[in-house]
Amino acid sequence: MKIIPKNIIKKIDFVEKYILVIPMLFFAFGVVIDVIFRKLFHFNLSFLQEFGKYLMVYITFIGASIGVKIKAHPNMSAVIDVMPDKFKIIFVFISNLLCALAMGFTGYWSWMQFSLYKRMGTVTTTLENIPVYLLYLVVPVSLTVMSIRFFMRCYTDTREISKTIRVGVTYK
Amino acid sequence: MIVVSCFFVLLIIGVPVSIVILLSSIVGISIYSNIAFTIVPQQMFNGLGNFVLLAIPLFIMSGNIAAKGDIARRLVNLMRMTFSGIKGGSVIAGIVACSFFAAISGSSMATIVAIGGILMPALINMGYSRELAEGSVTAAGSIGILIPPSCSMIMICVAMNTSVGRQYLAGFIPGILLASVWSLYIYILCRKGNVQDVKEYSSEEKKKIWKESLLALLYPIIVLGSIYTGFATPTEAAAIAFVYVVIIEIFVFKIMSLGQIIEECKKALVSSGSIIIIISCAAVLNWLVTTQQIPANISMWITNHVTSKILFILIIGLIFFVSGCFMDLIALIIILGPILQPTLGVFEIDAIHFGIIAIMYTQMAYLTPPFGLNLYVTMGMQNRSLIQVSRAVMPFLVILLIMTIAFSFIPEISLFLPNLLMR
Repeated sequence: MKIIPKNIIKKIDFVEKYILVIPMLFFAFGVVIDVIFRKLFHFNLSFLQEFGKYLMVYITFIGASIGVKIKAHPNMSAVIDVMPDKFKIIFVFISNLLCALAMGFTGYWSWMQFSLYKRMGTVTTTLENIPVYLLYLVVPVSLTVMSIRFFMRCYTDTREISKTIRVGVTYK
Repeated sequence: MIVVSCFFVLLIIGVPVSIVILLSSIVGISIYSNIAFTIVPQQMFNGLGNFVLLAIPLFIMSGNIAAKGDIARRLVNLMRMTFSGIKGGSVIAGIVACSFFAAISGSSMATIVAIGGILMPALINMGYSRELAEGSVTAAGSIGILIPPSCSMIMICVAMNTSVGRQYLAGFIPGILLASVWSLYIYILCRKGNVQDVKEYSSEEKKKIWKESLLALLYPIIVLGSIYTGFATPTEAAAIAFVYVVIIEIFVFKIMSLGQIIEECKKALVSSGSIIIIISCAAVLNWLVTTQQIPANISMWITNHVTSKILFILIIGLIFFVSGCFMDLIALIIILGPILQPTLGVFEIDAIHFGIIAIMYTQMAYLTPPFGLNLYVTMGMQNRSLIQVSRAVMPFLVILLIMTIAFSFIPEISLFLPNLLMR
């Protein structure tokens, strides 16, 4: 999208890459240290189990959100692939719009759930009493970003297909 | 009925599988339930609470790094040396290298790209037919989901609530048998051929190749050994495997930089996030079907209409084969697993054996035209048409079909090791 400058998109991509990878690297190396400590010194890093649970949520939602941008979400494209481009453009638009709405509504419900967690004031048990709502925040944020990205794809995918129709090649 | 129609319509128009499941569940909740919609994100959040799921991104990260690094080349060299004394040895080496690499990457496509990229051009240069070179590697790549540690198997265990250790053990004998029968077919085919593929290695060369590939061979031993000796849980074993691959690629093989490792990790995490979100969305569907008692009703309907166990196994095989042509095994098992689970009990089918049946039929779907995923990987790599690659794969597919039927109806093949070692 031309409305967002390229250098800002690059910076967002850079930040996204590191906020996704660094916690996972920390977890992987932490687990190995934990196994060694447990076997050698009968001592374990108890917070890793709970950290792992929230990390799973974190990488799934952030990964899925980036996945929308690079079209990494698995779908059954067999029918769409064999369609002529003029029909394909309609179905791709509808598909992206439905995804944007689904993510938008689920995002809205997850913001409601977020406020509920905030009111309840639940905290983690082994992770230094971190409020659960802070750890849950990744869900509504990612769902909202996914919704925005699907709305953007309504425009970008349609534009790409129309371009292929004009040039006379098949859109893949 | 509305939910099912909604599901298929959305699937056909190309909506991502995770959102197909999510939207169908939302439609189902709005029709059949009075509960607030905040149940949707709540179930999505809770659906990711299983610690074993963390093994999936870790294995995908290790697989991506191994595919980019030097492990595949070293494995191919070792296998070519091992089978150098027999006719068709290099093609058989491809099958065995794929099986080993599958144990590292856990992915069919990564295996074809990593091993096929090295071996297919080499085999063609040696004088083997294109059909044999492409067919053998494309077929052997599909073994990735059967040979442990496989990410698909972890998903099956999460969906069916079974032990990852038992499921992994169940994949061993079918995987080894399948690779052996494919190798036997290649040997018979090449026995009368004119390809000069018998090479003598000096003891110096042998030592060098063994030394080079030892660290790559240790990978599956470390992962599976740590699980079965009780040293680590599957997630811990996946973390150990990841750290091991990073260390050998950066410090021993010196092929990859830290920047490349981070880039591969990012790709792996995006791809695993896009897959695992399916589990998250399926948690909403599972909540809906359970509260509506759908698995119990389906089980009752099936047992009223299908009286024979053989027929039931054939039906589930057919469902997985046909659906596997269009959808990923992970999505299929997450949707169908919990729904079919009560019926498995009625027909006395072990959930671990069911997992192997599902994998075998999906493996066939990966090789069946016109939708087989592995065919498209080879097409792209070798610049061949779908018909050419499908023809090349056909003999291997027929063998796979025979083996799949055998594994489906003789549960002892897959259950022997889990029953022996993990009672």
